[in-house]
Amino acid sequence: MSAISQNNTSKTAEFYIEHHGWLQRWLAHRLNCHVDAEDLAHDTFIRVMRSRHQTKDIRKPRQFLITVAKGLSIDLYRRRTIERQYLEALKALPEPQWPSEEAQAITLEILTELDEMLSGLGSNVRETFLLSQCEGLSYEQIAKTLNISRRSVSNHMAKAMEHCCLFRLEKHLK
Amino acid sequence: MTSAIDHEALKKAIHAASKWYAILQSQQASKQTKQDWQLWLQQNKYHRLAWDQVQEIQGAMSATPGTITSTTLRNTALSRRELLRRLGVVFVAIPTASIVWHIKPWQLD
Repeated sequence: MSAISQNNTSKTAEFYIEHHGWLQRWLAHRLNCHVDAEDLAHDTFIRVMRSRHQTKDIRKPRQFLITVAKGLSIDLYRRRTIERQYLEALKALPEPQWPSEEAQAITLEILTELDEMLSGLGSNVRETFLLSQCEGLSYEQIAKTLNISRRSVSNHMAKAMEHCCLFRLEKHLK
Repeated sequence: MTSAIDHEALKKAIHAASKWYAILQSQQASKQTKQDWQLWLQQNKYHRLAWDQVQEIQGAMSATPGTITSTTLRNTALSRRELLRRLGVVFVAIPTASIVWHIKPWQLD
């Protein structure tokens, strides 16, 4: 249930008044954008207030709010960056081959999940996986491109796939 | 997924499935190797479940023309570094952060 009940509405309001200002300034400073800072500060409070926990139980509110705000900032920028990079990459295709708006939206969802999944991998492992799985390079070609052994290519492939599978497993267990 | 699933067994199967994936993806697997893989796959339900996961990920990676996916993911990773630097996140280390509060971020939904 919502943390906002009659009993603690005023506590919640106090919490908001005490922390909203500095959080928004902190975000504006870090993100260099007042509009995003305003939205993200708002979203951070919504997220905290909607949780089952009461704001009075938060022992270190500054650290807590900053951590939630950082997580939301990363999500927002991840989505935006993926969308921008995807539209940029699409330009390489002749326009008649562009997917429909609907197909683009689905692709963006998939790309967002893939990006989240792959962000936990080291750069060589990740690059090996992309070169093989997306670009169809042979293990020999990948070994040459990345200047690593063929055995490493094979190990990287197994590692990347295992990481992705476990990532999804953990996510679905939550 | 149902509660009847033994997650440790599934994790082990995922480990094995990933090795099979690396072997088969090399496109140099012999007929014998492919038969061995088939045998492994038929051994038990965890092997099949794990292989389903592998195929789902392969499906997601190839849902879009390959270079679009790889170019997008590569460039996204590059620009994320800048954001993480600005937010003061050297790397995403959520477990250690949980020391400072007693409400975990994943309980917020």
